[in-house]
Amino acid sequence: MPTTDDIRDRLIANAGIELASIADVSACCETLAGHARAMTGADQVAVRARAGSMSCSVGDLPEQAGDDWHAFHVAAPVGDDETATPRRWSVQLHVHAPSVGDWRMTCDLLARQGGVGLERVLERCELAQAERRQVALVEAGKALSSERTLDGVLRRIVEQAMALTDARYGALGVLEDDGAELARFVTVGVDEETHARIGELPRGRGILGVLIEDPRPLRLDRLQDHPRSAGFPAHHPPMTTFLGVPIVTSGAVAGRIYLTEKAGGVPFTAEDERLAQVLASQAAIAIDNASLNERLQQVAAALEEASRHKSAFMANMSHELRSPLNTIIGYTRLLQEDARNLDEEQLEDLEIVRGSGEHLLALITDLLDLQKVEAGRVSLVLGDEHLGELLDAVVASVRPTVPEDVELVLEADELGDDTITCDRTRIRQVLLNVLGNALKFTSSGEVRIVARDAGAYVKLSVHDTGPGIPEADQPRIFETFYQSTQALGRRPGPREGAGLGLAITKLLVELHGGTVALQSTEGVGTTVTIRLPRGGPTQGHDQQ
Amino acid sequence: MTTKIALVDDDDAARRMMRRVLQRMGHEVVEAADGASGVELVQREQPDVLLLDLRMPGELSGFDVARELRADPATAQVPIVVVSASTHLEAKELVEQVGCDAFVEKPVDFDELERVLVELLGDDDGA
Repeated sequence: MPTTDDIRDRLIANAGIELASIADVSACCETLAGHARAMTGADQVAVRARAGSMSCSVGDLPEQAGDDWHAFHVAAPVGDDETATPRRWSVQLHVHAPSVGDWRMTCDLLARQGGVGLERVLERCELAQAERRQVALVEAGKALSSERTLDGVLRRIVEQAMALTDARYGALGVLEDDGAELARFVTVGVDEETHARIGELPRGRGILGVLIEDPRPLRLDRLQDHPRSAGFPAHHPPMTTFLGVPIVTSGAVAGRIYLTEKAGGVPFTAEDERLAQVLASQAAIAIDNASLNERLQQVAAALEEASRHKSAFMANMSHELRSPLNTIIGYTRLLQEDARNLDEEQLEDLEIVRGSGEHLLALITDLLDLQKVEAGRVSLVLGDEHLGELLDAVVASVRPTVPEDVELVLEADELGDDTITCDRTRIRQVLLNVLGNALKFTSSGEVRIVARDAGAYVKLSVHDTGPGIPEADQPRIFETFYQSTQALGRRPGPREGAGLGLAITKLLVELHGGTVALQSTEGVGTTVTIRLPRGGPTQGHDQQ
Repeated sequence: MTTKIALVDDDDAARRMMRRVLQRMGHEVVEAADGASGVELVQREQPDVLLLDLRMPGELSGFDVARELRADPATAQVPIVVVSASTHLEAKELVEQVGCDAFVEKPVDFDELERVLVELLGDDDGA
């Protein structure tokens, strides 16, 4: 036979199991009251339970302990750092019975089991809150990258702050650069109609003014009681509890997050403040990014403007220079044609005038071309071209200028009938440039063009048996106006370059997604190698 | 039959040079130094070809001249050759917009000019 004590212990154990799995505070009250009633046979039972900010009661609590009322109080132990704050949870069990029997101990144990249940409830709440916090922080992080506008990002951050702290209203103010006034103010929770009725942005007086002047977090149980409270404008929804945290960007206060009206009419907690600060740091990143972005855009716009000016300037300058050149070159030619009384030397003089005019003209054309490519104003007109045919045509056009002791050789059989995607005019210009250079510096020997199939690329090499370029000059050979010392001191002939040809060549080949390289040995010769992607610019970039 | 060529260019030296080149080729040359007198010149003289500069000071640029001539049935058929120091691409685009017949770049290559004129007039002129 089990003893009464055994039965009591078993019942309490069962109640304990039940209480340990309760979902919330009200379930705790109901369960506790039910077991107390069943185990004591009391005619009245009242329970009051509180866990964190949640509380509930069942039955009518006695106004004061009378003869027949017996109270059992249990509360969570006070932790080291919680001396000033309320205990985590508390349970009051009131039993109305004519006399206290041996169920006194039962009630005491039941109340304790209720405490255990409340502890579990709190733990589960904290776990859920930690999860929510995690989600909110991830969401805030996503907002940073997904929202396009700064206002959009800030709004999402405020929403997350409200969700985390159970605030009904939220706002975010960003200060002007001087830190004295609000530049933007995002609000959440106030509907548009109310918003319109309130009117303009807060001017940063009252509590908002305090926050502007003093960057510390501010928590208020009653907003209205603060000495600086200036009251609300007309139509503003009533707000009582308040939490404000600073948004600190690179050491300075850039703004604030404001949260008001925590659910349940309770004040914001230290934990709320901590969470709001984490979100404020996300807002700080967004604001920093936005202002950085804005500055970048300004710089880009200024550069674009400068580039446009430069292009217009170059076009005008080219026009202005070409007009007098028109008459210089033209009249020289007229003189040369009419010159019956001029001697050999005078004719040579005229040829030099014309040659220099042509040289100047080539320079102006190259400069304008280079500037256009550099400014990104050259768009390639792409087509499928037979590179072999193009090479034939280029070779044919330079053949008349090949010096007597130089042999010009083209090896392009490997290309077959294959086509490559390129801008015919520009590739022709590139080939003329490279070939022209080779011929210009080679007085005897050969200039050999070799075209090879290199998979996705076509490799074009131009070898010459010229003087070569000193190793020291090679790294700078593709720079504008750079000419190897080998090139200096030569008398300029007609259509002679000014050190722009290779720079233009490089830019044009790169525009096609290709590369140019130069190899040279002094006294042996020079090889310029051009690699062009068969598929045109896009394919070339993909493979890099 | 002589070919009559109208020359409209504000640059006196360039105009004088072109006149000599064209006369040497055997053409008759009539001239104007600005857009407005250029339009009048073409209306009055009904030339076989107009050589037209693009950038000219005054109320009418080369483009305006070309547009006016094209809009007037009496002059719409006169072939127009734009002779300009403007960059090739820029000028070429505009030439197409206005509907001119050819473009010769300044500095003028006389051989090219002759080729263009032969193409427009046939090669039996001035012979």
